[in-house]
Amino acid sequence: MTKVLILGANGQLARNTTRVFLEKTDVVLTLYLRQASRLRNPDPARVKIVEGDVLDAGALRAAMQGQNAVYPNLAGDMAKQARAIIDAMHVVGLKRLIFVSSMGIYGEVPGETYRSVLDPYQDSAAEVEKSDLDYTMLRPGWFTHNKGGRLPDHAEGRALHGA
Amino acid sequence: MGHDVSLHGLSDLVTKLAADPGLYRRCSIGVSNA
Repeated sequence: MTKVLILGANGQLARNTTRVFLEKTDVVLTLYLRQASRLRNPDPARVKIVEGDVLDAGALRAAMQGQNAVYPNLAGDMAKQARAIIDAMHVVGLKRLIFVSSMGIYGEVPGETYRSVLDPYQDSAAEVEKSDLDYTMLRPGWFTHNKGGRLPDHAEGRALHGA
Repeated sequence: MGHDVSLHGLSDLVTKLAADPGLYRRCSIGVSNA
């Protein structure tokens, strides 16, 4: 049975993804966030909620024990947090990282110039890419709440894909 | 191609990546509505 650790579990995407995990998979989840009281446990049989900060190395390593994948949702000093996650994964022996960044971090979107906004995403992406982890970096555009959409059929390096 | 992405579509992709450790391994994927 796959076990996934969701860091920053109270974020918008994290909360939506938690719901999709529970509806569509049999994955067991650990939701890690700074204020556990902000989340209601949606399924106590499959979900454990852990209060902790990504920059608390001991708590993070403890939460990573026995997991198969780590899925962070970061804000703030994302590069520092990414380094903390990568270090903890090395210590615990975890390899699989699903890392959400942003469209435009490689300057791949013509006409989009959000340099200062993208700095945390670029810096944290660089940390992930220089690691030896089995990462997948997702670079979404702006979120909508449509339930439609399709997933990409294949990867093509840094190109944009439909989803 | 637009630059919007469905929140639900992105969540769905995350679940697929978690289920298959080899899927898009060491890849950086731009995701947007086609």
